[in-house]
Amino acid sequence: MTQEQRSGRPDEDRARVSRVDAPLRGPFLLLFGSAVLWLTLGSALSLVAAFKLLPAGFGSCEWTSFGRLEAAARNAFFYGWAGNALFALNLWLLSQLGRFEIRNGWMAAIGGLFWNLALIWSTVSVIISGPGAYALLDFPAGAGPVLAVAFALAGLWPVVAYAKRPTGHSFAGQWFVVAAAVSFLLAFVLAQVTVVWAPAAGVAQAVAHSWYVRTATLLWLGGSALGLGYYFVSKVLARPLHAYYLASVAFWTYFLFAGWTAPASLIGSPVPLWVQSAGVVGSMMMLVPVLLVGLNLLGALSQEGGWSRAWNSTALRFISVGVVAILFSLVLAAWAADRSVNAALRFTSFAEGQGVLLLYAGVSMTIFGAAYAALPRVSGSRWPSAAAIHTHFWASFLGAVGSAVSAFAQIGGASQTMAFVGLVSTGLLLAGHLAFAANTFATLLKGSPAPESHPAQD
Amino acid sequence: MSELPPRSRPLIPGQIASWLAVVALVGAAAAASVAAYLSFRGGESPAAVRRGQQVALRAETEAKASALLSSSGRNDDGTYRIPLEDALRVAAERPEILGRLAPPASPVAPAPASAGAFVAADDATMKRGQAVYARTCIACHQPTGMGLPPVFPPLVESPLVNGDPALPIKFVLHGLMGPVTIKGMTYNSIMPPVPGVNDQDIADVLTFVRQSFGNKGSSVTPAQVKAVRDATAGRAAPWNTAELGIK
Repeated sequence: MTQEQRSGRPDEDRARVSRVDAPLRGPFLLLFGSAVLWLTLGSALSLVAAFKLLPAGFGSCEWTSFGRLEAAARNAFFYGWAGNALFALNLWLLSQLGRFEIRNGWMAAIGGLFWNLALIWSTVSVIISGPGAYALLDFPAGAGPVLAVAFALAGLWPVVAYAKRPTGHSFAGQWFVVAAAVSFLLAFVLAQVTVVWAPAAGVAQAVAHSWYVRTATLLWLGGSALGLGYYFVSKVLARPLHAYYLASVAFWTYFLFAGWTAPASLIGSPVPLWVQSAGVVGSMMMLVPVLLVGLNLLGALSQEGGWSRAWNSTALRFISVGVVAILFSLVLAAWAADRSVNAALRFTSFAEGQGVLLLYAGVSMTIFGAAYAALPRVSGSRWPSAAAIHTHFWASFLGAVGSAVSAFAQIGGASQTMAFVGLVSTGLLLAGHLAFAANTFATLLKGSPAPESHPAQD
Repeated sequence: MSELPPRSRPLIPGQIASWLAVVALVGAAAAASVAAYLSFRGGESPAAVRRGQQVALRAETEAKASALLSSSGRNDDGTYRIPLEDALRVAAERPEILGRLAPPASPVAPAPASAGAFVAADDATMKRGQAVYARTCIACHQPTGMGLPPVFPPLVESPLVNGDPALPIKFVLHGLMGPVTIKGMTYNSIMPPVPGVNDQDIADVLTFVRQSFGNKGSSVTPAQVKAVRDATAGRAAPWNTAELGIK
């Protein structure tokens, strides 16, 4: 803990951009800038797709059919926004914690470039010729290897930063980020082989696909977000986490069980019963890391006015919302894995709502929070507009909650009113993301380091 | 060891060496998993082989059909064939030509009428056939033999079932794909081959079907099934309606 506090902002008073952050500037701004562009594009596509769910709808052009827009929006959010942003933020976080001055940022930048080119190709292909059968792997087969190589170039630098850390000591945030990077690359390569290039026979392909989706969602996105959460909660509150000695148990159980939750999404389908049961057990066992992460992070937030301090810090306001949403969505997933509950929820919009909670209210909000802290330190200029930050928080908070409520309310059956609520919430998300994008690019364009003054987020 | 000159640089800078080590570690783990998966998975699965044959057969049938429509050629009986478009244009310009058209020399595919009077099969055969039907056919064609329009076609009053027994024997042995029209409704599904039935079972179940639900077809004998099975030995792909000349 103490080292996290010490290594956080060295020489903040003299130079805004630290020795560690300065060489990060190029790749960080490239990756994060493209992430924000993808976020805006993805939200716009989601908004058009949400229109499609209203009876009025519009048009019958093949390119704007719901399936294509939804797939393109999902890929833009997952790989474009969360992927790029986590490349940047994970590298920043582990450079901070490992005092790592990257000398080969150009490799990360090239990786990011290829990652984005492959994504542009995929998005265009999904919209023009339709998505494949497997969500999150529905881009053209040729894009898979490009994405894997690009990830190795851009996404593994946090692991190098961890390996090169000066002391033998390490922090929970580092474990989560390192394991997230390694496990995503492994899972992606294996999924490419077992689902796309040499498909497993019959239902095994569906099992492999569900495993990839859960691994990529929970381990890479969720794991990185929890890593950022572990760092920022303790950093902003400037105090040790509650029951920190349990963090290693939380880490190991989280990474052990997350992959095993996958078959829970296949309950009731014609896969062998033992596979489904393994999914049920995995989902229930996820309650152990949920409990422990809650004890660590929410415990620290609950002591001595932690919540009000979190509310008054831009970064921690977003991140505490994100952590709560991630934990809540995992509790919901465990509840829905129960066979009798699952029988009622199986073909409803429940999974949709739970996914919104995990990805939009959870992972995305955590990334926003971390970005509010990291971007000024790397770019050397403050966020220009506090109003845009407030707009962003409330619009994306209400938008994410509204989307989840709209999905949960339609469990019993489709409802016009709730489809409209979903549409408005998607619009709110887009508005919030536009405010964030405007603020981000204003920061990037200001360019030169600001004179000594405390950044807005503290 | 000897002293290094003060400004010498390593061949691979430290950070890149670490990065390569990480990539090698992850790559080795991925390669080991992929190798294990591929050895566990084995070669091409029979299902994939059959799928490939189906795709090839469908492409071949389509190529043949489009060749019939679009290119000139010579028929089996020695007459010449011109593309449909050309024929229509000629007919439009010189309508009198239509009057000179002769019917084909030999009628194509004469309807195979079951010869002789209807002979009902014995009760034991019908009972065995009913048992096979309940095991293998009933899910799609239903207990009534009416099928489930518009997905599964009926067996009742279906010329495909009640005509030449070689056709239903082929369907049971290898399956059937492509559109069929029965009682004015077109069904475009795939009937998979029926696994786990021997010649006797097939003869029994077809006899049962051809003499139940109001059908009055001839009995089918195991010898007939064996003849078809031998004649089509080695075939894996389902029969295609275009290939059999069924509409």
